[in-house]
Amino acid sequence: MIMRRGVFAVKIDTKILGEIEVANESVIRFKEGLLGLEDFNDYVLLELPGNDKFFCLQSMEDSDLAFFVIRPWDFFPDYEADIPDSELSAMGITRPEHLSLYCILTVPEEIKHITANLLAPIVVGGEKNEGKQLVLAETEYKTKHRLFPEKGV
Amino acid sequence: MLVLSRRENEGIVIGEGIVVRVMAIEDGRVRLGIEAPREVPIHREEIFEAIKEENREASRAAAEMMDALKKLKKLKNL
Repeated sequence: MIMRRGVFAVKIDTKILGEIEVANESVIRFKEGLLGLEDFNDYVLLELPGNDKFFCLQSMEDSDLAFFVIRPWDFFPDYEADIPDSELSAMGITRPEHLSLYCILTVPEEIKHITANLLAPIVVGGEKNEGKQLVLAETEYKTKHRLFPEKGV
Repeated sequence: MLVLSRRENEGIVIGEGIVVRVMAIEDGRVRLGIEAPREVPIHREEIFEAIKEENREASRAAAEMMDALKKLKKLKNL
């Protein structure tokens, strides 16, 4: 760990941006990991050069493990996620403005068929910058929603 | 694993505040009624399997992310 200008920084290896330094406080800790990937707990959210809609959720433990994510409302303005208060308080989120929500993208061979997982969004927030993948209850959302649906379908 | 037999309208109690009751049995399907505190998440098991599979598929994005971004820009002029 390096301390610079009063901020602790950590070096991480990323597939897309090479080795980078991030502020220690920007580390997002997923106590339970992501579903199916429970052994990986620390991630950082990276901005991707040249755009403001797509982000990279990079594992700090494995440079090969990274997710392409979006803020759902950039693409699905009507998206609704009913997040139980108990989940928020467990994460130490007391005010909604301290919360961010992201959805994971799956990139198929044909890029235009790229999909977002609206059923299991990622909540990030709280004093300790915790992250959790939620499974929305009583919802019509699925794991794959096209970002760019074909017209007339 | 604990295995119990239950008839229609019989239930089981799990911990404090969770009751699972067999509401009906018909054609190889069992309808269950579940009472639980609001903060206890309840989901069909296959939902979790689908999300795990989706996560695994999505986690392979690292190597191709910048390439995908380029293609997306071309596609939509983002």
